[in-house]
Amino acid sequence: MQAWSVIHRWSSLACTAFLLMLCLTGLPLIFHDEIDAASGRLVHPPAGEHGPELPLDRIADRADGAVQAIYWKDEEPRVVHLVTTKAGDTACDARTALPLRTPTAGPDVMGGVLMLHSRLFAGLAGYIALGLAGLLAVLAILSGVVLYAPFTRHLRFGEIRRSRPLRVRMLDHHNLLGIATAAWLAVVAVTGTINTLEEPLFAVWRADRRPDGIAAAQGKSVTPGQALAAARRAAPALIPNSMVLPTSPVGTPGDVTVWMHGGSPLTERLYRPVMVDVRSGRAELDRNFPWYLNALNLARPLHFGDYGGLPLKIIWALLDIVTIVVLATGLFLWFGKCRPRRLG
Amino acid sequence: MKARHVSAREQWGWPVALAGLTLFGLLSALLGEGGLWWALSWTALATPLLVSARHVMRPSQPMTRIDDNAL
Repeated sequence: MQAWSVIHRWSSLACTAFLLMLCLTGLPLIFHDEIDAASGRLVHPPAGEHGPELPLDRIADRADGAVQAIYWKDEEPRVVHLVTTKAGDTACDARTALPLRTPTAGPDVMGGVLMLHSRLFAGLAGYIALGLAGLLAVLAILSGVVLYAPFTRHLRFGEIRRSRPLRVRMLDHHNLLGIATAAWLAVVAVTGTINTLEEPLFAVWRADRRPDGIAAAQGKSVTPGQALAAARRAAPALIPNSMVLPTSPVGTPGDVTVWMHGGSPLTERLYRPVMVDVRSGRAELDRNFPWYLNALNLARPLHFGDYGGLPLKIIWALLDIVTIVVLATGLFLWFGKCRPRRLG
Repeated sequence: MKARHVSAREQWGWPVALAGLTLFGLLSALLGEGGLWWALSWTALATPLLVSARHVMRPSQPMTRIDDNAL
């Protein structure tokens, strides 16, 4: 038990600063959809336009520079985003092909918060640091659950000894709130750690694909519209979400990758790539999509809490606040331990 | 004074139930098709919060003391 106590103390202390930062930045990120919509960061096509959407190639042809990727957002109907070498990400009206002005209502605060939360503004080093912090957090939760037994064996569940010194009351709050939210916190910590592996895992997957296609980017190739149509035929039950062309730094040589997903709450998280050969136009759903990327796709919602409507987000935020209290009381208990007089 | 231990069932009943509800709540919103499953998810995930709040805000009326000098 002494060993668990040491593990709990040091694994928690090592990651507390990170976890406090993650809890504080995570709080607004839970509501980023609502904040983006309210602060006018979504693109809206002009209301006056009517009529059908243009074929994708008509829109792509008007792009400024070579198109690297095309994507759509559920919350932006009738808008196509083109990512080009020259102009970066441009939103276009799907009915007129005209570029829409991206609303830039001040600096992208939420983007900055996300950069801090996901990688400490430090690229790969930030991912690694947060991944390690996540592993330590898992260890801290596990050891905390083990220690719950000896620390509460004389107490009824949830009992706060109000007549006892502050330190005992802090301990009781720490134990109650920690054990009540342990399962949620464990899931968020594990899925958060998995999310830090996103870039390396996708890099591994891309490196595995089509090493023979390097020379294929030359010569005649399918248009984005043809690739999209071919992908739809290859996977009629799935909904296209984005396509990555071979010209993109994250593209696959020789293929247009069309990312598609299903329509149910579960399968809409499970992105599947349809590979369209740029020369033959032949499309094929990648049936051997690796399990680790499916795990990554499932880890995202379970970390963000964005899959059960606004009430789930509010619950997520409250659990986040409880976690802050657990961290704060834990720190208080450690500071108390540093003093000569020991209690509890 | 020798302290009486609470039984394992008394000690772990609530934590295990809350963890079970949490996992059910997390999965029911993900696997269920909205509607009832979402409502069940909200209820299940709100339970640990409500139970915690009830204990934290309980007025300082002393509960039956099992042991006052254990620590």
